[in-house]
Amino acid sequence: MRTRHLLWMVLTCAAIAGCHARPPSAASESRDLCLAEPDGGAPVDDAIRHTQGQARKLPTEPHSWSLVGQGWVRKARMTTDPGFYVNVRACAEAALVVAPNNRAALQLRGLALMNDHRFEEARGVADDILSREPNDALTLGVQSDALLELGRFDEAAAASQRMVDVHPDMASYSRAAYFRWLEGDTDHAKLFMRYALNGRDIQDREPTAWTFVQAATMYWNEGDYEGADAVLAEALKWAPDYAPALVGRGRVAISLKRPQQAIDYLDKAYAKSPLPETAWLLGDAREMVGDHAGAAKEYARVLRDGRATDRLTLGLFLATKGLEPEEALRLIDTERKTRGGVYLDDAYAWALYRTGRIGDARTASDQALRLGTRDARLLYHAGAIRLAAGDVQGRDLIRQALRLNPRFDWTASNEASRMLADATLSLAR
Amino acid sequence: MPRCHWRVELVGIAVVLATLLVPGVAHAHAVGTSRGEYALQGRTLTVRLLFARAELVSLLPELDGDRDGSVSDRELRAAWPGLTDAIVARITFDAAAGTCRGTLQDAALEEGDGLSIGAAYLCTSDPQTLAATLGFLDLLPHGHRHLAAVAAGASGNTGRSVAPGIAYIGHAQLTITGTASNGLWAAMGLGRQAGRVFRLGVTRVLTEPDHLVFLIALLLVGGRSRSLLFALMAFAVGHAITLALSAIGGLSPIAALVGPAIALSVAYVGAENWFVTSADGRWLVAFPFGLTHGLGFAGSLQQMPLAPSQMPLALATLTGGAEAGQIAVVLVALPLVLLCRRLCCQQPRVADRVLKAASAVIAVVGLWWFVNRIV
Repeated sequence: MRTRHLLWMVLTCAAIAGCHARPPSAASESRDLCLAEPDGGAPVDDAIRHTQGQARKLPTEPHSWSLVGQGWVRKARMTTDPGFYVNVRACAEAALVVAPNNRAALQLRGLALMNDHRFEEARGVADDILSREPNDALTLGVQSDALLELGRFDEAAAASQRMVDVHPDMASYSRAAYFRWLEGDTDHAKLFMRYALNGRDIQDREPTAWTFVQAATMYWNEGDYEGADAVLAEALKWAPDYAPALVGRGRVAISLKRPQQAIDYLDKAYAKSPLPETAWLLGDAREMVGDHAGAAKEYARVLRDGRATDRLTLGLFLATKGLEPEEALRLIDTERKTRGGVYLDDAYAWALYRTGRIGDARTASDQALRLGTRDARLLYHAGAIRLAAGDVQGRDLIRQALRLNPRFDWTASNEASRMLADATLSLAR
Repeated sequence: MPRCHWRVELVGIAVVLATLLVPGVAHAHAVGTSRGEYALQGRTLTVRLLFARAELVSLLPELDGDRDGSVSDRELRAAWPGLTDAIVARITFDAAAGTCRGTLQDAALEEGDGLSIGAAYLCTSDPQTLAATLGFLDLLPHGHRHLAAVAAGASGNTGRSVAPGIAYIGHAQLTITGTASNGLWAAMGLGRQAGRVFRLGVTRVLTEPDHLVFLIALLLVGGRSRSLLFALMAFAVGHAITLALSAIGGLSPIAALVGPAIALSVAYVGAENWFVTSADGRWLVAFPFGLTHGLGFAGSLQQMPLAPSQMPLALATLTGGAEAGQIAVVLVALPLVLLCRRLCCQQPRVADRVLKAASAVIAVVGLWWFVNRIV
């Protein structure tokens, strides 16, 4: 009996030692948003519910919140609904209340910041993690993405290279492919894309679908429309009704002058993920079939949604269509305060061109071409700007653009053809 | 009962990592978020909404009539009719509320890029609960999220908001409960809510194998009914104490310790069954292990939006549910143990061997869980 008394004391002490003053529990709102019902019956929803159950049981364990957040990231990607990043951010904050330096939670915060277009803050978070864990592949990815968005190409490429060195897989190779493509090295870009796709995982289909979409975009940019369409069809096998793949097929169908087919794809894509870019393409497709009222409706959507959330797309849309040039310039100029990169430089150059500021447009266009990106839009814009500045080399750039991707944009490629014909005529005179 | 499924979680991380690492789906735009506070008192629903200005400008271009990229007070005043049409009139209610007429009360520019809107709805009937549809969400961009908080507490006594919900296109319904009632329990119906908590307690016991196995191990040793009852009661009391402490006492279990400790308790009782012949004095072991197992329930109440005043009732109900679950286990397992002993009563050695073999299995399972939870 004495032994039992001793045991009793030991066990009771141990049980009490199992308690400690309660650490701060996750802030109520973050917790509630993290634990929100995912409203769906897909495997990703079941996974979220499962991890939410763990988080309820272990609210003081930061890891349990991070796992829920990772589930929300997957849902956001699968559904192409960025709104679920609100839940991601909530899970990150819930975990960080419990453990302020938790790496998984900081990574989630970084992803949420990227989604919010708070690139500088996302980079800061990534730098912070990497100062402690220099070889963390996921964080290197966030850092690379943030630096690229900020227009710091060389540093972004270096982070991407480190990511490949540390963790050569689909994620790192697809990033490497994109960097190569931006630099105009399309052969290596395709090679890396193949490496990336070698790592496809049947259990996790969306990343593979996304990588196929990226690969298809490379083919499309080279004017290989049939090839691009085949790759996009493959993407849809991996993730049926995947909006980015549907948008890609819509774009390809426009290039192939099959507007009705494009409308079918884009309507479906817009229903799933109503982005200004999709509305723009839909408007173009409707214009092609002569549905001017329908096109106007789509273009109105671009204006409405672009004003709220996507200044770059709206600015480029206005500049491409030759509408409200000052407004286009203002939108893009505002965007330049928070990000950079060759595509933003190109949009800025084109907006300046539309407002008649050819000198500034030329400077911006040079910046847009600095990496040697083989994108017909960039080349056309650069060519038009050079022609406007009296530089006949512009003609070669426009020709190069049309040779590379003859129907890169319904409005712009027609405009480019006309411009090239005019330039050739005036040169002949 | 908290368990650290580290292995499972690591596999989960590996799978998720693949998703997170791939360059993001082109969310070319930033997500917009708005907030709303909804308070129903009697026939009047008051609503305060906070939006990002850019999103409202996309909805109502007249808010930035001069297109200078900012909203002035003058532009805001001019946009009142538009705000009424686009926001206030687009919050609609179910027929049970009768007709609820909404009016824009105020609109103001807030710090940063915020724009707040106050509205009041006067309903013809006196609804206890309003089912609202936030139709304005249809006009906001893809991905927009509305964080809705419904005020609770008697006539704003607590000023606390409960159950913040997240609304978005396709999920734009919001249930608003009148504040004349006292908090969530009263709002949802005391009986219904208590039933929910009670079921939670029962379910937690019945769905956690380590809890079940521990109880069965306690019963296996047999002995006098009074001793068995003492042991079970000591376990229940210990369990209730730590559950209460973790729920209201400001204590929290160290998750990494509790899971393995519970597993060890199972292993210990299984092993001890080899060395004891009756349940006499076993409450001395059952009580501290009850304390440990109770810590495993720590997260149960934290998931429920409860006011501090509701906590004692919730705690009592949850404990009642947990004890009911344990009684159910005892009612099923005890007859089986007794039956086994009776069937083997001619050969007590056989009965002893059967029960010791079962105890050995339990001890091994407990050790297996322990290893699993610390690796």
